[in-house]
Amino acid sequence: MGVSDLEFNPFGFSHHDDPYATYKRLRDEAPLYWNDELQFWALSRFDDVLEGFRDTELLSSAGGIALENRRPIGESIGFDQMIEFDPPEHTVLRKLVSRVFTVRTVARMEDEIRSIFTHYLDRIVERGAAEVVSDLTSPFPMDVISAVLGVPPEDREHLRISSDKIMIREDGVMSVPPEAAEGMFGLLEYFMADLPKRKAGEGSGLINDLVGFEVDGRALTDEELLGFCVLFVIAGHETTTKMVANVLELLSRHPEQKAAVAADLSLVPGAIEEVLRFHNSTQYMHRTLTRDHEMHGRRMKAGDSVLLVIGAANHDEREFGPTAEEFDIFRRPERHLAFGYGAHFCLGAALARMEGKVAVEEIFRRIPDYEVDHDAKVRFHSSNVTGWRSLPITFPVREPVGG
Amino acid sequence: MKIKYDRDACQGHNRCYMLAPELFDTDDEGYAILLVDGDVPAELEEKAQLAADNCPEFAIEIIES
Repeated sequence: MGVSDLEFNPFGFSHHDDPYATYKRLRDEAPLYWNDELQFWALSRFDDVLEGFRDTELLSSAGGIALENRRPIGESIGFDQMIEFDPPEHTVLRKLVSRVFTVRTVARMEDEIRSIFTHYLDRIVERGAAEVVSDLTSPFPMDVISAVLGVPPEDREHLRISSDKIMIREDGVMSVPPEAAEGMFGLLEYFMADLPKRKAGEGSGLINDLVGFEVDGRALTDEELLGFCVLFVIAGHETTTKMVANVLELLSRHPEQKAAVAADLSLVPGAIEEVLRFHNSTQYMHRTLTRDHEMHGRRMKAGDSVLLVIGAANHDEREFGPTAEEFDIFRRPERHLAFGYGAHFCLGAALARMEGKVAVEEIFRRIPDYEVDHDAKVRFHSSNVTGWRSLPITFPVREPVGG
Repeated sequence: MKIKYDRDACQGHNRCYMLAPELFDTDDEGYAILLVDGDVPAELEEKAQLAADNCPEFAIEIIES
């Protein structure tokens, strides 16, 4: 293979501004791309990424799921998240919590989710202006997952701020900045103090359920309990926050589609599905090779890092046809990889879809004429999560409805 | 067209139930329950294919007759 100017650096801020041109080149020119500086492989075609998610024997999650947190397979980091386990250990842990997030359970939460979102919407409608992320899309999923977990209202802000910090990365730099470490420490410290209280019978909710669960005749270890708490807080809040803001931002740049949604709220689920495909919060997942393997004529070694680039796979013309790079809420993609695939398929997918549906419906019911200040919006820079740190909007002043 | 559903492979992702509720129900733990016995009605064949394509565990197989 000759010298190429093709560079994919998931930490580069300029990459975040438009990853899709690079992704197209990866798919066409280097379907198995090697970054020598950062020492990772990247798969970008739909079929390869799907198969990569499926084959947990070849591609392990136990070496970390983000490039900057990679480590030798099985090395403990003090808390054990099932997202970083492989089957069969993963299967056992996941079974404990899968019933909490089924489509049916989530459907029963719709009214509660709606009243939580309405509460935040009521606080801004009289102002005629808002910052979407801090006013709406960040606090509301935190409230929802906190209600599931049983985190009291007065503690949620602290967890939300900590969780936001965890994702922060610096331009082009792979190491985790102090601010992000501080965020993780904030979460761990909170739950290390909280878990003994739950064990003593205080509080209620999923955390208390977890404390009482048994696997193979034993209680969950403290590392496993911490892992669940940290995972639920981060996964339950971060990607949904970004996803809902991405919906509003993308629709504002496609006025005809925005008008269509405003005129017919039954289009909301389709719009959300297309945002998940077209500009997913989670851009890639990291895996570690368990053995030597050959693909696209290149030899990879056991222990190598492989990125499954969801953002690239979801724009693959080979799967989505010649219009793959266009945003079209009427597309109804038959399948996409926004929530991954296989054993680690996003546990909270049904909840995320419901939260997105409720939030976007309510926004279009109350302030369908919102306008995004595109000059003032600020991108959120992370390695594998994409979205807005700040997304200012204006709209005609309205009356709150109460709720 | 017939549907073959592998209960052991199912991990309760609920995709089939979301995409084809006419063909799949779920139990309390989220595992799928196949609602049709025998041939899939012609008007639901597309949905059956959609469910099969979307199952993250490849637990649903379409058998063309």
